[in-house]
Amino acid sequence: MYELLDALINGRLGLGWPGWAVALLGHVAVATLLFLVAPVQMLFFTYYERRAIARMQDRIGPNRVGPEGIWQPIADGVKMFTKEDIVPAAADRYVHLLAPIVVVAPTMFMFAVVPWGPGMVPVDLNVGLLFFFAISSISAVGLMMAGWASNNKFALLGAMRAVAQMVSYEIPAVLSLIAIVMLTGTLSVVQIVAAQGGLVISTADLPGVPDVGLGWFIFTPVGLLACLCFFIAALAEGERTPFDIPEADSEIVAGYMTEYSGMKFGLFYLAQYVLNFLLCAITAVVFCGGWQGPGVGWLAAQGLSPANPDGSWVFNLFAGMLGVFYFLAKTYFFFFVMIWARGAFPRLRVDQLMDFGWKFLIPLTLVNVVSAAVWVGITRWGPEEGLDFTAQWSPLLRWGVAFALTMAINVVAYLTLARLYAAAQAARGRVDLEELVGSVPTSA
Amino acid sequence: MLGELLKGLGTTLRYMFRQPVTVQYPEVKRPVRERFRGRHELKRFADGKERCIGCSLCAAACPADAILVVPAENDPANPKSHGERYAATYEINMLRCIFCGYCEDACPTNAIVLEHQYELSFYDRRSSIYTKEMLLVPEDQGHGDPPPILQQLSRRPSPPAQIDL
Repeated sequence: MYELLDALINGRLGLGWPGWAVALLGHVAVATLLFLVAPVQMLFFTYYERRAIARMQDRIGPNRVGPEGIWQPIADGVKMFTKEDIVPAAADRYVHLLAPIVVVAPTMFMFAVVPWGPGMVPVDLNVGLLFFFAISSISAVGLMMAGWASNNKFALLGAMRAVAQMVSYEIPAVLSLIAIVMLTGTLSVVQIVAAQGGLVISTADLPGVPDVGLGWFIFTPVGLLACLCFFIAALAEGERTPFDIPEADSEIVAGYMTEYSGMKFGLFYLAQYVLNFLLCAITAVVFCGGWQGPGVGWLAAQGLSPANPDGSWVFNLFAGMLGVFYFLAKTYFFFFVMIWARGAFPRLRVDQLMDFGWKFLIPLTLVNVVSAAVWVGITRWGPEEGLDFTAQWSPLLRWGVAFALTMAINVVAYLTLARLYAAAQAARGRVDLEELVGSVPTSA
Repeated sequence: MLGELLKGLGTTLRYMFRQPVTVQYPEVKRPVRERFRGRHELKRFADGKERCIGCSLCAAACPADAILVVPAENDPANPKSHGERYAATYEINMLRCIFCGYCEDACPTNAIVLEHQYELSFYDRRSSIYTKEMLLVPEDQGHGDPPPILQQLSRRPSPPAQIDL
């Protein structure tokens, strides 16, 4: 964006603006664009979710407002805006007002590092992934503020649950990302996407693989397990069923949102859907290649760039469009999986949630980190790192051995943990039953 | 564990490709059963004369006191009904009516019948009162012996409504 504006303002128009002004203009333009795109995504997601879940329940869903009900979210938005904003008399007014802002702002920040297409990233931070997750945990503070300021036991209970859940599930989420960070050796989201060219096998692992943008990490045992674990953790982070216990409407009304109405409630809703969009987006970017897909790399190479000064801007345009298409298609697919899980699974109990996170997901992701280390050791390391025996192997053999070994480690780890976890849950169920009925008769 | 989760997801996905059971109400109306008790109609005889003789038995039978009948003497030259009297005013307050059908049972001439119309919403309370003009069927419709209520009584219990999607 900076180069483009610089070329336009100082080059083509010859206005001679200072660099900071061009940069400011570029960032303001990108931020405006994103703040326009984010609510549109949220509106679309509410409609998408309602229609999809309706079909899973043998219903049709909203189809009255506009063609096939496409304007339904607009009608809902108008309703939100025109509703009375009620602040409970016993509430802490200022914290009550601040809480939705504190929840929404970080989710908007997170857009800063999400790459939409080749070269289409607002800020290419070299610690992008870290930034993403560091910022996302701030909204837990907002949730706690909302629950506390409402002066309502349901709100407080919901906020407590939300914070406990977010804190617990950030660990498996980050641990599964660490595996990918180990494979790529970078925290930059752009470089993680760039490392996923290839065809099933990434070009980073096996030079010479035709680059059709399909070397996604999900095709490796490490990436597959990391993707599954990350996505489950993302369901919990985004408070989606089966982990929607912070707003379990059959237990605690609406959790921390209980005492909110009108657009303040709308902001929580917005934050939640934008967060879900971002979690799906980051799943698509980190594990499924983001904008990588057949054709994008070739189109981008034909386009105008510092390396290729006589390319045509038309190719840049097409590469961008195709990249955004792939990115959004993957993101919407992952959101569909979220809806799908909502249609299929019941809500977990709080203790089941904690058990699953701490006793199953975290050990599994830790094993996955070990697998990632094995993968990197076999495919990348040579004599200079002190690993001699792989030096004579061909790259394909190295890849195959790494694939088989990590696959074996992950499958064994999964089976062992699943068995251990099931045994622990069964034992726990027995203890619960004993506490309830006094003692279980042994004859039965 | 993963296997069970995938099984559940599979069931949900299978249901996604089934035909929804929703009836799109204003466009598609679900047929009611034959003995459904909806809006009242005042029937006529085959010769076009009103069946109602203004006896007020329906008003007496009405548990919700929804019916008002003001009878009047028939003009011998131009009688509105067979017999001496007819209903000069016949009003049913649809806000009071509980659609119990006692008026049908009480009617000696089978003049009042609860028919299948069920869309009875209105914007103000005054329009909840259905007058004789609204209830009486047009002259070329709704006659015929045997009276509809007897026809219905001789029938077996109505079969389940057929939903036409």
